Amino acid sequence: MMDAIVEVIDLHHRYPTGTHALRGVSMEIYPGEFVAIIGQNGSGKTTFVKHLNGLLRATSGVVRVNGLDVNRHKVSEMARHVGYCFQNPDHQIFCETVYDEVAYGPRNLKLTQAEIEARVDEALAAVGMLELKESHPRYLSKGQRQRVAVASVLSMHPTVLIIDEPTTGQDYRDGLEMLNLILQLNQSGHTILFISHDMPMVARFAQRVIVFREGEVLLDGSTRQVFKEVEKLRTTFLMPPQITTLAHEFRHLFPETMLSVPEMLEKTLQLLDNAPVKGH
Amino acid sequence: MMEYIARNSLIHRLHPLTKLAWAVTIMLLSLMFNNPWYLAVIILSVVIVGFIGKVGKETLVYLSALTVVAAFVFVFQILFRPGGRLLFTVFPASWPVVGGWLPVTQEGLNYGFAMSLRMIGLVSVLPVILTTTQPRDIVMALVDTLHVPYDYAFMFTTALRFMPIILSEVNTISQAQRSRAYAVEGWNPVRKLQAFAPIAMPIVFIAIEKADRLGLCMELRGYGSKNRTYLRMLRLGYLDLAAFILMVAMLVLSTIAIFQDYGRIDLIGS
Repeated sequence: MMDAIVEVIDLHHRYPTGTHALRGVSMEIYPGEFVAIIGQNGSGKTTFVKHLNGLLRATSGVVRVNGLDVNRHKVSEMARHVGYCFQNPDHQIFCETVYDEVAYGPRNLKLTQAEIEARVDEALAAVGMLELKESHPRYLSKGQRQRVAVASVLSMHPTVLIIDEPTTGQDYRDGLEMLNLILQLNQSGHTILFISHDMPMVARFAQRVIVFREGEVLLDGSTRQVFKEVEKLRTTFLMPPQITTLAHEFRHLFPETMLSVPEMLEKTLQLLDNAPVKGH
Repeated sequence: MMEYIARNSLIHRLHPLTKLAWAVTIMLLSLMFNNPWYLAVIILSVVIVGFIGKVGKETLVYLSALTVVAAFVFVFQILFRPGGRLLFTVFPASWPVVGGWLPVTQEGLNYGFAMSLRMIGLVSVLPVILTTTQPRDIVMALVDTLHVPYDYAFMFTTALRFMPIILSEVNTISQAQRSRAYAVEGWNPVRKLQAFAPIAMPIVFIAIEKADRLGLCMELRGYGSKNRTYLRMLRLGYLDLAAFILMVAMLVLSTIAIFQDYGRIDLIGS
């Protein structure tokens, strides 16, 4: 068995205002996993992921990433292990050129000039923005700015990538492109955790889904297992994709959970083929 | 940051104008007296009003944050106040070269106490007023009773209202940059200034964007059309009358006290 890259044991977080935002969260995430974190607003998703690079400190419990106890390291030290992309790229973009923006992290890591340049090119190539290297980030579209934000985190070579709501506020095509990009990053070896409210995208891309409810993990399993629990999901007002719900309603015909239209189509055709032919 | 807290209290029911008058009274009193004991009593009275207004805890949190600033004022006033009865020097006289530097005098000590307490006194009313008064009521009081043009009153309260929003944005930006290994290290002032850009640039853009959107929303809701009417009218009540009488009495008594040589101490050290 491989060692977990993220290991969380009985994590509690209480905000200074008294809100008990996390109530005993435990999980293990393994290298190369593609994990979606879902749940209602205020269920503790963002609070949870902010513990993985030390932006928030555990009130009690243990958080280890790459074997490092996050509580004993500064955020700036964790940056080379955990990349955190915020939802709104405008919260971080401040440079005159895309190049400088992406080079900011590596410069903070005090890398050599040659190394910085290599990393910027590599990160921009990964997000498909290499030709816009000298552009002013303010004049780019929102989708492009988000790619710059992702590149500026990638250039620090983190092993774990956290992406907060990558599709919110984007049209279907931009959202799809964003998740395809994340999938590529996953295939090139990054462990991915993304927060999302976009159930069809979660069903389509995630291998594993973790559901938060009121500061606790309600469900944790493969995407298929989690979306099977329609009743449990309903308690926290989460709706699986429509096709999944439809298949669930006809579960005497479709015992397995359906995640996409092509899947459902295939099963339906199989059922029709095997059906006893009547009327002859 | 101080925001309105909806609670049911005597102070919440006061007319905003009464509370503004109270602010002026406390400021005047803080300036009239320089005896640390008197100033301490003034601050204590503000805390008591805070507790009557059910915002005592919030007031104390704010004041304890202020004591950090006050501590700076205190130290600097002591160290850089010339003349007076010498108590001791920070560097003992027996030390070579630096011996006898930074003398601390009785007058400096008094002055430090007086100035830091006065500083706290001057701004101590802020949390009580902001947590017990709705911004729109402050606008009403300024426009309706004091005849301040509505635009100015609106500007004033919008600025107050924007502060917590901007601070929360700054917090998010700082988290985003720290996630990219942003860290302010060392004492080099040029470095410090450079380190400011990653936070300052995004917040300026976000603030402009927000202000732009706010302006649009205001126009869409008819801001600037003529003959504004008001949904709520505020009236001065008996409670306000009682408060005004109390405040005038305090000011008169204090003026008499000053002329009778109470509440002031000799800070010049002559």
